[in-house]
Amino acid sequence: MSDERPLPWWYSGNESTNTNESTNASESTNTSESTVDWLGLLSGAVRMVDWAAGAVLEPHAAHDDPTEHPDCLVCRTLALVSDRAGLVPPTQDDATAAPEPAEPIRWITVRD
Amino acid sequence: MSRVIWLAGSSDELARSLAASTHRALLDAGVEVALVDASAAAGRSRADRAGTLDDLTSGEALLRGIAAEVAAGELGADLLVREAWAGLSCAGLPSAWRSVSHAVGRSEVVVVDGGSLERTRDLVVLPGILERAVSAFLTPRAAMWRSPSGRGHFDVLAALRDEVATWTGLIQSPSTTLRLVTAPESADAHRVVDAAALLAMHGLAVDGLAVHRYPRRREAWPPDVRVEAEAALEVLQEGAQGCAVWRSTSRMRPAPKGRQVLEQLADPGQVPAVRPGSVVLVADGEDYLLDIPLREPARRQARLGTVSHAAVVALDDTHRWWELPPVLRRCRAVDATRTPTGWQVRWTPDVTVWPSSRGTGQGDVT
Repeated sequence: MSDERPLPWWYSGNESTNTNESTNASESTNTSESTVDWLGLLSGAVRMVDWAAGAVLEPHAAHDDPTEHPDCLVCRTLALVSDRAGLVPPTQDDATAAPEPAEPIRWITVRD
Repeated sequence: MSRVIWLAGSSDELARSLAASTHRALLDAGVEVALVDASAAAGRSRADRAGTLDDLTSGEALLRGIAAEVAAGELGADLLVREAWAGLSCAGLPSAWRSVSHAVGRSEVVVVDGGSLERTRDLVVLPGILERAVSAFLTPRAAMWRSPSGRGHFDVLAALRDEVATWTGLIQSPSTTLRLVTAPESADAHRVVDAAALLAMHGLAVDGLAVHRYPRRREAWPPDVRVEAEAALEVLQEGAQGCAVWRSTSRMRPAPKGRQVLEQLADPGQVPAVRPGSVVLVADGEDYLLDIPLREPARRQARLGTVSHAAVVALDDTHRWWELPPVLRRCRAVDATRTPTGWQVRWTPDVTVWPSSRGTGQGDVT
């Protein structure tokens, strides 16, 4: 039975199999393996950013009106912020939830 | 709730003198009393002191929560300079209210130095404005912005609305009374009488009017000064409408001679003020009659209106709103007449909003 586990998709560094090194903390902080780990994590983060840019930002670049793209994460955020600031009028779907316009005061003459 | 004695005058100095003498008299009587300075001078000194600007969170939350913070965030800059807001007199009003409400419940008696008539007017009118403004924003749609942390804009405004409601309750409490002092000049006395009517319209009942400093007979005051002082006293007596009137000839007298400072100087039931319980609704056949107690000159000069489910009385650029009882929400105000104690408004059922079985007098028989 093999105890080797599949590498995570985001991991690009060299995996060390020497378990003895991890038992000595003072040594492990100074070894080249720990530096490689940090570089691996950094590389994974860069891949995630690349993925986000490709999956979210590039499609959003072609979106003119945020309200027409509710599936786009950026458009959705922009629409919510604009709506919160009162910059976007309610859509027809929101008509029932929108506050009613201020009703004018009906003044009544007070007689002597 | 503590007994609250609110004091204001035709000038800051007069109000301060009356507050000091009232505080001294209560201490001499062995009463546990707190003196709260809610005057504009206190607001300025608070704003001058570093670190106390955090007290302005109520007004600031309103300003930031509604629009300014969103705009600043989108522009990538913080547009709000706290010191600039604190310099505004309106920014000090919530802070003053917090000082008053903090003292209420912690002392047997709370003496509030409300400063000038204008300052007290701003303080008393503010809760009604804030309550309506904040409630207008707390819609079901806005509730979607409720934060899981409980510190979102909706939550801040909801907390502010609850806090403001306690201020309104304090104004309209039967244990709160207002005493006003004027300089011995007829013009100032007229201002005091007008302020008493306006503040009573907003629920703060007046139980005492004083003139200070009134010339003694043996003192050699110029005749014109004495005539003017007598005219001022006469104005107060004509506008008293049930509350006590006294003159103070040397040190400020906190109450009329022979009366205790702590007692109600007027029968609360006889002093006109728009408070819960004082606006009376009675049935008159198919109609309803609503009696609204008002002091002069509000009785003559104020305007009456209705909007949605609320009635409004407007006077001197201020508006007093109150929610109508459920039965009147299905009625129309058709007539209003002045009575010796205020107004009487006649309401008749509005057949367009009653169910058809009620409006036509016929049941839905199938």
